[in-house]
Amino acid sequence: MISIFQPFLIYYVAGFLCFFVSYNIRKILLVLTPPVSFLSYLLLQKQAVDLIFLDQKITFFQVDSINIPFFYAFILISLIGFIFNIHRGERKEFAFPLFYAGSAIGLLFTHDLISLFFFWELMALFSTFVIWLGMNKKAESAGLRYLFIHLIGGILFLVGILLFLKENGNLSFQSLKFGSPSSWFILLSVLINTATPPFSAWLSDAYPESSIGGTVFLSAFTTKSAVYVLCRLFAGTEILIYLGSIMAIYGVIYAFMVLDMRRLLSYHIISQVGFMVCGVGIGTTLAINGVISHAFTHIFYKGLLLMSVGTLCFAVGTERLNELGGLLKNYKMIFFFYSIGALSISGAPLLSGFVSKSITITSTLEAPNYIAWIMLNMASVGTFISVGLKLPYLAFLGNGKEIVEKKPIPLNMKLAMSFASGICIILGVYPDLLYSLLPYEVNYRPYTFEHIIFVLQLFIGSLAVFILYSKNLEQKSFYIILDTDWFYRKLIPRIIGIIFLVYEEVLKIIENLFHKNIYKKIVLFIQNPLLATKIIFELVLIVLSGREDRNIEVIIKKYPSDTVKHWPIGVTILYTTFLLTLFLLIYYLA
Amino acid sequence: MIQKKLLKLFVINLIFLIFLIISGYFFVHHYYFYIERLIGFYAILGIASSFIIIVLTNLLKKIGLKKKENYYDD
Repeated sequence: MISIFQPFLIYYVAGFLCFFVSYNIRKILLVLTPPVSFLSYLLLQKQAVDLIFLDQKITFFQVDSINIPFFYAFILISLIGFIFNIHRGERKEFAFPLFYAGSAIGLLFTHDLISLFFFWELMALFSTFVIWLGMNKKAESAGLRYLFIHLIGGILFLVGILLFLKENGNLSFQSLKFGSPSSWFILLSVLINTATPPFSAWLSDAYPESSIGGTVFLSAFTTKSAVYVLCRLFAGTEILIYLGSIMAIYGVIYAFMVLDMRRLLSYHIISQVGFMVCGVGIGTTLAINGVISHAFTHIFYKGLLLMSVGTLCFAVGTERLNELGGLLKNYKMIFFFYSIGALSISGAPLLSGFVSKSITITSTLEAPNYIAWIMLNMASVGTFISVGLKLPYLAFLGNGKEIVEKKPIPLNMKLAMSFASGICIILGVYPDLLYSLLPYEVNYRPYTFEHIIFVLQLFIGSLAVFILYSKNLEQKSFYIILDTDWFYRKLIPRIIGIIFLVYEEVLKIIENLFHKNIYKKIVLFIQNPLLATKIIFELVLIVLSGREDRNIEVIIKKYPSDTVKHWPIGVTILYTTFLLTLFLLIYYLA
Repeated sequence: MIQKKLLKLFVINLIFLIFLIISGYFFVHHYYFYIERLIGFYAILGIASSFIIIVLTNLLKKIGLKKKENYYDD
């Protein structure tokens, strides 16, 4: 009986109730759901919940050392996200994030591929609804593209599962041998969800289009769930080292180019997830610890960054960096929260990024893979110059623009940001709190003199370059940067347009041909079928006999005006008898 | 005004960087690989990385990735 109270189910029930209860009860529901879900986890944690489905053992709930840290992070960020969003009145703004968070939590505790697929698809569906919370045309189109890409990913996953069943005879959750057909399909599907280039554009396309609260949830669940699945299934797969390193660089390069704040931060999700993918590729215990600790801290500092730019956007009504500037004067508190997030993501000492990101970077030296090490360090620098310098320089410092404060900032938003900032600071100052959650014993010490000196050298060196370049950053007009979504937003529609154009032209040609030639000939034949047949018959005889003295010219002269039948009845009977004899002959011979 | 502030910040930054390089030279003795022993290696890495990123992003913008806001609406 107790097994019914699954942690994910608490979220689903709360989400369902949101459609029926009043605003005040909804607020209470929203804040109570994460702690109640955590309580259900405490009650269930010692037992596994299984059932048999299609002769396969389905494990809905099993706690182990890998899913615990992800679960804690998901519970906490959902609580912070709900507090941040609580001033919003609409039912769907409460319900869809609850369903989405519930699906992500459900996915964490699965221990077989069928239930994993089930929650995987539910997440894709509910995250699409969260994107649509943006409630404008752009959000609608971006959500559809997002859903389309994730449905393709889902199909690949399903094909992979079926191949896995054929290869192994069961669907249990185990490390996959990379190289088998099933592993290729499943890996491709997971890489779509981790936003690995060239499949990454869905993230930077869709996340910034959601509501400001919705983006906080989006940044936490989809990519981190995919990282969790990678940890489970593909630890030690070498190709991931290179894909992750490319992701890390790709994200920072795009982030440095774009001008809207939430898109910039979305590109940084790709970059930071790149660190995690790289760590999974290395696959040692240190690397997996690095991946999980980085996923854990990333959820909070990214949430904090998105909340602070979201609050800024809420207050001033724009998130375009070319329209902002000099906001420090009026928004010191937001600047403070943003700075904590920005320094955390950059890996500054005493903040959470410093104690987590460095584990993954160090694990590349343990491998050893110096290319990955260089690329991850470059990505760290890129993160610092875009999130830590470019965005605050253009929005908070820089030339002050005439910005009128549109709305006062609600207390719940400030509270949520304080909560996330607190987590970033506590984890940075007491890293053992984080390390105690990790699956393997941690011998890594982040606070060494060498580490602090090296990180400071890296950042102060890049700051020098940034200062020299900063005057070139200000832009007069807004622009967009093309990403791989160009292929399905521009190229494929164009190709389809060309195909339709060619199809229409071919149809026209066929129609003309039919009307001008075949159609006319048929009409002529119908006008005098008897003479037409006679002409054809005469022509055949001429060809067969080689004689040219037959009266074809006379017949042609009559054609087609004379429509009266001229053949005597005897000839018709003869032809009919002949055809009948032929028919009977064929019939008896067959 | 901002230019002056930036210049001042740059000078302070440079002094701090030199201080860090000197500290690294005298007090850091644990290295993972040989090239790390180069004086101010991480400062050079930071400068080089940011330089590469800035050059690369400008190049990408120039080769046609930068488009007008309504590019996809056309």
